[in-house]
Amino acid sequence: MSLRVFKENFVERLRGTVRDNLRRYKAQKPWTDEVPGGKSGWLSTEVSPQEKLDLRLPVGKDLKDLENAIIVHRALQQLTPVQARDPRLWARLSHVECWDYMRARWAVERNGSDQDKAEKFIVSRYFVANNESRALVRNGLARLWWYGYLSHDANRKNPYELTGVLLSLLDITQTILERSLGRVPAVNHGFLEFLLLHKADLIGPGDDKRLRVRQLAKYLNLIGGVTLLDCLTKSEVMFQLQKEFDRIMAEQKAPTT
Amino acid sequence: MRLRHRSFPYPVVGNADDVPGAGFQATYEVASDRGYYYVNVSAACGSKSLDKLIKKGQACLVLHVECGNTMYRRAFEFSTENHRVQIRAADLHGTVELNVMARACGVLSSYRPDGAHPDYGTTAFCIEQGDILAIAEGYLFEAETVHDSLKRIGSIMVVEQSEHAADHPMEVSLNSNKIRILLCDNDFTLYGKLKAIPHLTSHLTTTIVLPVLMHALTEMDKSDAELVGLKWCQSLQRRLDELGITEEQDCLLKAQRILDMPIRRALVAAECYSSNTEN
Repeated sequence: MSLRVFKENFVERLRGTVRDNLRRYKAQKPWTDEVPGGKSGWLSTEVSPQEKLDLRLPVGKDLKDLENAIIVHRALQQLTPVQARDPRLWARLSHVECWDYMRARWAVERNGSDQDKAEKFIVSRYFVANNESRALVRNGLARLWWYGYLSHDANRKNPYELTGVLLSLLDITQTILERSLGRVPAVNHGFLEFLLLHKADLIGPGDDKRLRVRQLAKYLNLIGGVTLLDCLTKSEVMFQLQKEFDRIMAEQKAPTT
Repeated sequence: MRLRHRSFPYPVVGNADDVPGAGFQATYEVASDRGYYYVNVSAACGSKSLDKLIKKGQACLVLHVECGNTMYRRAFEFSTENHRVQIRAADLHGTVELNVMARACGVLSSYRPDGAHPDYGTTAFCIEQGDILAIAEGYLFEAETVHDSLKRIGSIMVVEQSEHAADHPMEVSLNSNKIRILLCDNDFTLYGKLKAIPHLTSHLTTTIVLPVLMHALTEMDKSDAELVGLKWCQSLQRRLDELGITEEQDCLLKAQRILDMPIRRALVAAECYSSNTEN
């Protein structure tokens, strides 16, 4: 079945009436057919999902982000970047086809009784602002596709191996992706692969590991001010990271006076 | 990519008054069709020492393209004064930023550009691979796709297997709501295989759709009353009106405008395929 998107004016109408519909965002079933213009507020597209968009619901602290990033990216792998930034697509999926997932992962109830906060939360998680790249990693579903897209590596035995690294350190890697430098394929793949290579020292619980990753990200940003990292290969990016990593580790091992 | 007003730890041609004795300028021209954006860039370097490095292959010019909306960021290297780059229309949407710069291709152990600000004195700098050596004024353009990439566009043509058993040339039937293109068994089987290969889409359009469309337009020009009520005919007429194509223009031109430069798209796709194969 071909993918459906909301019509542009219907997305605008929905976005403009979030406050009026706050109660509906707590509903168990999709409700957009019930609002004016909803029944005819969609279009068929020429894109058909390759696989069923059957998302896993979070269980306790296990948010299932990696599993779902793989499901969304695999199902919609044929989307072009222009299509995958279309606000009509993600608004439709967030409100209809993937409603159960959105309710479980991005429940509006987490904002308590603060209506302003709830409205902002819905606008950022259930919609995509037209001209903000950051919005793509905020929407509950678009983020899954874009994480998959930016970290997918067809040359690896497990093409989503780097997606796993990305999602295991989301607060740090999101900072990189939200910055322009993280959009350079060699830089973001090189960075993620480097983390994987030094898994024991960089990935997992512990403030010292987080601090090291932050220092590496900072270093990359620093040399990016002078060096055009876009022209380096993945191995060259990893070589740069290795130099900084060795320095950080030597510093930490040095006896303090 | 914000390049201007950066303080580099060494003199960069084109950056503020780092190298007052030399300039670095770029001019940009952007064109597009349905499938691609074409960026023509010319770079003029006033620094003899940098020019020398480029000629020796120790430095190169770079066109940097960035589109925040689609998270697209790529660098295209070149070493001649003029360069042309093509980027898929499917990769760009909204504001696109272009920058031209020069970068070191390897380590330069004692770099001293001629005409550098006197404050640098006789200092020679150690430059690492990839370090920026020159920057030109950037350029912004809006990538606006007229074509809705998600919307289903009802095709006016359908390719079918012909009912004749023997081999025969392509036939066309104009008497239904869709233009029916009839291929013999072998051709139809081959067509089925090839249409799934993205590189060949443009070639199939040129080989099959272009002549059929020309034929249909020729028949429309004969003002055949029977055709006017058919959906394909109404749809084509609407498209001709939208594009402001007048009756006087010949069918070859009309067909090419409706299909949005099919020959160019086929040639570009072939060039892409050929360079991918070479690499």
